[in-house]
Amino acid sequence: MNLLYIYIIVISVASVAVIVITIASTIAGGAKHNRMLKLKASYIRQVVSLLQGEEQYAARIVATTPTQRRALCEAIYLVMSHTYGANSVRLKRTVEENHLEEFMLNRISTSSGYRRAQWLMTMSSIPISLNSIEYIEKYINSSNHAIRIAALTTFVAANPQMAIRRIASLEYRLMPIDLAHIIALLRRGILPIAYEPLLASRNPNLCLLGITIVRNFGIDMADKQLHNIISESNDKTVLREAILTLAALGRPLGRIKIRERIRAMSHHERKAFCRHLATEGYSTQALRTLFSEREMHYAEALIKSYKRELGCQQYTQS
Amino acid sequence: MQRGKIIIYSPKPLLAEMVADIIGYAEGEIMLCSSTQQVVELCESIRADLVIILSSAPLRNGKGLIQRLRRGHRIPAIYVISWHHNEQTVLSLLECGVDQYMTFPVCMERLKIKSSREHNNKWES
Repeated sequence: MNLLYIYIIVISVASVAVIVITIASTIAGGAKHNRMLKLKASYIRQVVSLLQGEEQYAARIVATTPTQRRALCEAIYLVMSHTYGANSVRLKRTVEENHLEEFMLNRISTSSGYRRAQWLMTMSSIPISLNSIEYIEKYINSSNHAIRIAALTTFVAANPQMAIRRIASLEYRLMPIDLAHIIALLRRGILPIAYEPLLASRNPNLCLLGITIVRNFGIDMADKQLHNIISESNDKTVLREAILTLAALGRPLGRIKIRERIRAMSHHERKAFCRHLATEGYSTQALRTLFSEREMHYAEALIKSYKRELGCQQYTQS
Repeated sequence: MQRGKIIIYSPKPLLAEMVADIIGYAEGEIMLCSSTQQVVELCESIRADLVIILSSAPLRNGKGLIQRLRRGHRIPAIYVISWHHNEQTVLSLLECGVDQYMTFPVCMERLKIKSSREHNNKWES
């Protein structure tokens, strides 16, 4: 009986100790998180002031401990990835004085998986040396998708002159999310690329990049090049993207070659394409030339859905 | 000189902080919110001149939020900044009553000038 009492007391004490430790660690974790947020907010303010041309801030941005350096790196990344038009050369002095480049390279080499990808992506926002570019290049062929796209983004951002050559030499196919990262660099104005040579390229990655640029920036003038791709290309992904881009630009899709390509699509692809055309605002008459009578029932149901009906009513009233 | 009142909403506090820093605290009285309920309450109590929403998610259900923000006497200008580039999304937001739509990445200078012009106009009118 005594043993049972001792057992119950020990279990109760242990449970109370576990609860107290958990609460204490949660409070400590929350306080640490709050301190980090405050530190980052302070660095964001200094970085924004520096980029807006207040030179006196360059000397003031100081990060000596690893926590401070991490906060400063993340603050720079947040500002640089959400803004454009600022001269990133202004950051060079801050990066050099606080040894941010060495710090990030160290973190990249010691971490793995998504954390490594995160550090690589963070590095895309700071001006880096040639040695670092060479070091990062080896991650472009990583087996981890997140790492290789982060490395490619950083490489392209640091070395825009070599961007096209590097993308052309990739051994894997770029996915839409990868292209979105490159487009984000274009929007920040750090990657000047002309879309025309890309659309004429036989390399599927370059061609896909060209098509993505046309679609993202709504370049109507690329109509002819897109038609050329549709009639000449045999790559299924490139073809699909070219047709979708043509539809996104609101161009007519009645050409014989386009109709042939659409007819050659699988049932599911045609259904997805039909949905795409309905949301892009194509009329039932335009769709009738592309789809069979059976498929048209589905298309009509989409177009006559509540939202499209509402849109039509608005236009007729105005 | 009276200062304008600006409310910035973002579910990410650091992003709201960054936009506030770009606009500059000297330009006006800037308040940061992390929930739409907070924005509505603040808007009613302080009569804001400009509301900057850093996400299109609160406006996905239509113009309910905009109507709630403009219930008071002073009608605030509403800016939305998000990553969406789709023309139809932008048109829908403008039809909902958004005054200005900007996409990320945003030009620091442009954002600063626009917000400054907006609340200066409010005070002049």
